[in-house]
Amino acid sequence: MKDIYELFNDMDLDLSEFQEVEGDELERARVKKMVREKIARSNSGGLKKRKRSTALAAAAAIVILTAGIGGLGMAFPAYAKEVPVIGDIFRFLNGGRSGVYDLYTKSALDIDMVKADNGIEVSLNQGVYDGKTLSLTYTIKTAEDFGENPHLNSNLDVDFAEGTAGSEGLKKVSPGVYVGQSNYTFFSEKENRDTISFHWSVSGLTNIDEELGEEERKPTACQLNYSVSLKALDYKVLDVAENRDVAQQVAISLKRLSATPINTILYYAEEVPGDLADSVQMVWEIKDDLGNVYAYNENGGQGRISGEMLKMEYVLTFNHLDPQAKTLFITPTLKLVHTQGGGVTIAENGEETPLVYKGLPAGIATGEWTMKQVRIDISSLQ
Amino acid sequence: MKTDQTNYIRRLKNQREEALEFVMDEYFPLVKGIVTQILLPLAKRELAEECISDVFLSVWHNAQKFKGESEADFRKWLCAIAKYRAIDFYRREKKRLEIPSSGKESMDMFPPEESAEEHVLVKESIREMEKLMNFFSPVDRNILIMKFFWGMTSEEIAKKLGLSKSAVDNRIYRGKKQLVKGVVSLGDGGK
Repeated sequence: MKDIYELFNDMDLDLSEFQEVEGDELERARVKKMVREKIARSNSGGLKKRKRSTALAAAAAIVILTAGIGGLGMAFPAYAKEVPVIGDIFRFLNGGRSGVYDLYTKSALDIDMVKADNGIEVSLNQGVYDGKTLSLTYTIKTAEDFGENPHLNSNLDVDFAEGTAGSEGLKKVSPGVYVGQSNYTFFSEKENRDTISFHWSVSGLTNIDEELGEEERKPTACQLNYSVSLKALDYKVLDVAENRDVAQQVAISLKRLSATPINTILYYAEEVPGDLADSVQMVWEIKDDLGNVYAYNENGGQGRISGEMLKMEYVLTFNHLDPQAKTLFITPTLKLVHTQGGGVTIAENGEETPLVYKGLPAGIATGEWTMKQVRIDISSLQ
Repeated sequence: MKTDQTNYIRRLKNQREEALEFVMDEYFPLVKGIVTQILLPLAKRELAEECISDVFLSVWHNAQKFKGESEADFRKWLCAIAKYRAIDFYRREKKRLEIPSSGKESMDMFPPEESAEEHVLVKESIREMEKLMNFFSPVDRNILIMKFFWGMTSEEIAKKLGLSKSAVDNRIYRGKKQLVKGVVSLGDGGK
């Protein structure tokens, strides 16, 4: 006797009556997780153990793991055995859209270290070091709920950097499961472009949901330590010819480009009068001769005060260059903005002080100034 | 070797998990489209996701029952399942057995008092219905599947099969009577 699933073979459906509806990465992840769980529960046949592709296995072989530093309540290093909750965390955190991180997962090295303490389990999944910025992805599983966007108290130590700029993003996948990414950009006299040895520590997780009171926002402490060495990505560097341009006393010079298999790093210098320093914002248009427009991330900078001027060196990261492209066009736009305005400060005793516009110096108004377009022959990077 | 367009159906039948992953990646938007269209009036996101996962789970558990060869056959089979599972979800959620989207007509079809059919259907007799489908002629079976498993209206079915609406209604009426008889004679043991 045929059951309904067999009978469906004979049904003639008009496929044109159906419309596809795209789902975001989060939705897909939730559905897939449900399916996997149901299959596991139903136990009929069970899930075959997922095999890692050989490409990933080869990448993993390059990762050198050093012994973790001992600490109270620290678990022994273990390797993630289960299927990652989210395949491409970089892309997932970018809302499933394409952007700067499109190629990261492919080149990232699998670290897969799992440690747990005080009801918080953190798997350090992948790491990628482009010679300037280290990007880490991780999956957090917790016994209790930490809200939609908890804050991870983490710290990264390397021995070569004089300064580090960083950013962190964390997103909930399902109750008690979060994935995150942290970026650290290192600034030092001499760049470290071969391997990176770092020590990453997680000291707690905090639910920072807005409706919670100050009391409830206390971090749940944990002590998790990871010591990892990663090989840096290959790269090519191209120095950019002299191109200094000035607008409103702010000088911008592009210094060099560094191309890695996953991204492109732009180094540029900014000279700005001390009294304008807080008001400057730079916006970039980066495109090539084929019409590709590249999204970028700002990674911070370092600098020093030289007389009245602040001299900074900044780093931007944007997508991997189109292999067919020959020329890159970079156009900086300077924005001068009021640094503060429209808010109030509330003192401990409840006294409110309106914030006044922190004025720009006399004779200078807010506005936008598009600077000279810089044309760069990138054939040597391809 | 990677799971791709050329081998995923075979691999799915062999219960290879990566083939299911492939199917979920490939057909997510299609299944979501079908499911959300049917469950739209309920406006429950979790229910829609639950249902989408149920569709893929059904595909996984019943993969061997897929008899077609081509991608197009598979697509149709998958759509049939998606429609069936979504209607099932919709009905369970509504806790009554009205056929959705058929408006006035359903009022005539299902009188307000609990009919014999309703009575047995309430006892989760969907499984029984599935079995009983085998006893009908192919045309009647198609009509009954469209009606009860996919929630289509008589007009829609008539248009699709090139029959008049009254012919379709007639066959449904006869089919229902047979169904009720069949289910009753199979007894309550089947639940």
